[in-house]
Amino acid sequence: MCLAIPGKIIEIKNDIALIDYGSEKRQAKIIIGDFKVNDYVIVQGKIIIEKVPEEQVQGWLNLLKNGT
Amino acid sequence: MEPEVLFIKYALPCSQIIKQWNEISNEEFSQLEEAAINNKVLPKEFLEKVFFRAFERIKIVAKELNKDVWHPDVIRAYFIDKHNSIIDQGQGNYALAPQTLKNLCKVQKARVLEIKGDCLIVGYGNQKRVVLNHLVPRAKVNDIVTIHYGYAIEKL
Repeated sequence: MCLAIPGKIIEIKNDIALIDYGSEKRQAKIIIGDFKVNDYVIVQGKIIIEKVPEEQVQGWLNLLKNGT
Repeated sequence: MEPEVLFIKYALPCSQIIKQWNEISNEEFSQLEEAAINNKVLPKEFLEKVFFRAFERIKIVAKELNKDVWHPDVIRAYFIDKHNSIIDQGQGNYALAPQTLKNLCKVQKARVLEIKGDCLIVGYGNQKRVVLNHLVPRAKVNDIVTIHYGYAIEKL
């Protein structure tokens, strides 16, 4: 299973973040980058690979829900 | 490497988006993922059907290069050259894509800086990113690899 949608970091302990996707929460590891609680991020294979600026999150979700 | 394997390695990140749009089932996605990781040849017709948007554009590249659609040169020219300009121009669904998604969707050539478990920390320009090494398990520090979304795709 993999989620291509941005999730919100709700907790960080050492290098493990807990990410809220609305319908579920998942853990992911921070390898590089500075992340804070409330940041939106993209995860691939349980690794945080990118931060998504909050103003871009809705557009991302819209595209993934609809597409053409 | 067979062209069907080369193609699915590059296209694997796109599969996630296509699955999100319910154009493929979970089972089909698993087949694509397994093919990319284990170098399995999937039928050309299946790949052309799933990635119909890409093949519309690949046909154009094939014509320009005067080669078959499934020639490795055509597949690489599409993903490494064409794909990024299509994203920048906002063609098709990219018109609606936020900038961060566009950046992740672009295929980049990057140098492996560090290896951490099954992750590669790679650099290109002044950017540093982390990608999975599942498709290039034998990548070493200083190798040049192509990257696409959260994966290193192949060693150049």
